[in-house]
Amino acid sequence: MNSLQKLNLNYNPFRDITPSMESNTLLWAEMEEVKTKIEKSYTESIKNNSKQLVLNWGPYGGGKTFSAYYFIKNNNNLSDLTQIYLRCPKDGSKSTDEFFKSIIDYISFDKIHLQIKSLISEYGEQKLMEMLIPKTSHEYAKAICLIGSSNDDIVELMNRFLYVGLTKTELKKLGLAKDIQSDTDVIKFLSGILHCFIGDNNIPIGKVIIWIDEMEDLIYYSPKHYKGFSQVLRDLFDSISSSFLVFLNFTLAEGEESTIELILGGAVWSRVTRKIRYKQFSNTNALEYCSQLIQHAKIDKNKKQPIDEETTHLLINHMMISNLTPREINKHFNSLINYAIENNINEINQDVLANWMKEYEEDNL
Amino acid sequence: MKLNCIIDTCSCIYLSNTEYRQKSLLKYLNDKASLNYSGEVHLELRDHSDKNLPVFIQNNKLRIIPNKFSINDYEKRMLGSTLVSRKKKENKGEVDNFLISVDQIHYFKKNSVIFITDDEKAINGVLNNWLDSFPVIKVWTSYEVILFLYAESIIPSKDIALELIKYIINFTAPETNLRSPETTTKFINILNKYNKRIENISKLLN
Repeated sequence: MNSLQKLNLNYNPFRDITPSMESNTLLWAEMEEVKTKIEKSYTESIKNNSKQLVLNWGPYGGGKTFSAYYFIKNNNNLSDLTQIYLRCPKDGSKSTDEFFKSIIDYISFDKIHLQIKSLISEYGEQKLMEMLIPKTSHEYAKAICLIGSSNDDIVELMNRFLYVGLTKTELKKLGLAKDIQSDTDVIKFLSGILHCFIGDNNIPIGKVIIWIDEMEDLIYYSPKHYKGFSQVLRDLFDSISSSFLVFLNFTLAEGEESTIELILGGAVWSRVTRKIRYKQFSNTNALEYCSQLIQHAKIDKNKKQPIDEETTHLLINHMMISNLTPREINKHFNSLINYAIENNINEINQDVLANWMKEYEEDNL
Repeated sequence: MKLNCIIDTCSCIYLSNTEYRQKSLLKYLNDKASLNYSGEVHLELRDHSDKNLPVFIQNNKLRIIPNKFSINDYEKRMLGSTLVSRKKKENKGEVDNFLISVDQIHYFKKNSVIFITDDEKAINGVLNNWLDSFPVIKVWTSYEVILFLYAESIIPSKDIALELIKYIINFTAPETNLRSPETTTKFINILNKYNKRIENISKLLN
């Protein structure tokens, strides 16, 4: 029996202090209202082909990134759904380029190639061009079709076309008039690519959901760069008319919605269709969060091990109210469980908690 | 009447790199204020002349020498020893500017002196408690300069004033790898705070 099993645990439920997409145990606990609202946005997008811009906002470690990972993972099996996760570009001066490449990277060039190839094979290049031209431009519709070519040399050139651009000779060889140069070009091209995963009435393909995390980093942009990036978000959102859901995750430790409006700017703010607030936990929320996570990880669900409710309550009470976020709770309970494992303890009671607290406080002074 | 300002190196750099209608905020401020500094700040400005600092701000005539005591005597009285010129982390520029401000108020009997600095470390460190002891000295950062220029209608609209606040935030923001939730919160709070102050000016003067 290993140390975790001695504690009646299959795994440490607080191990991922910050969420990880690779985690095998992305378990939703507490925050039912938030979950319901996100589910509603997904359902509206999937079933009603709606277009939405959703703002998720709340404190650091409040569960916004976790929500993205959780929903992406749990909807990964839907074949007509393309989900993309990216962070707000850090460098304002390269934000459009970084944003474009992050989307291409997340979907992957190979997947884009296969998708376009399969559309050409199913509907024919002419029909695909007809669908794409109004969404992008004739030139970029042609370029997008070339990504789905069966000729490996052309596909390789198109890979470079997306990432670094081509020489005039290479463009001429492909019959293309221009590279992707300006921010407007980026949006036109990206809109065309995303439409290969969305389609239209004649070629219904699927839905696209984009999560953009850490939008608060816009605070570091100069007004010039901010205007450029905000225009990109606005134009992209306006260029797609249905089956498109964008989540903007915005961390705001304190303050009100008006602060977010100040940073996002009026143009993006006015397009927000739903606001989801991640509230600070109360002691009851925190206790429920811990109980649900622990219960799921228990080997024998009827035993009170690894920790009884009173001790859990004591630790939560000990934490500052401003620290009652999933991340801080994970941090404290992860440390407590590791302490129990290191000291070969089978059950965490109030004495164990008191000893751990002494050690924890010394380490975190 | 022009404002009496004792300005620090970092504020000169921030304000000279933030422009409105192709003119730096430092030049706009210079139209409305007498800008002076200590000998140490003059040396620092020369050291940083490659940072888009205009020639006028490097003029030797803007340097002020204290009268009641020498700068070395003032430093000894304040810190117990003299500070070494151009030595990192000594904050000699900020300390000497503060001493100049004290001298201007209490020896030259200037009505008021505005001490402009964006060096939070100095304000909260070596100058902590000292500034509170001389309440006539008013401390401004580059953000207060923007408020002043807006209240004086040099900056014509609140949107432009807010944009200039954002430029200063962008200019002073740490490198990507040095950013943290704390720095993000700090800058969001700054934007929020000065937006409210710009609104107040707008309410009262427009």
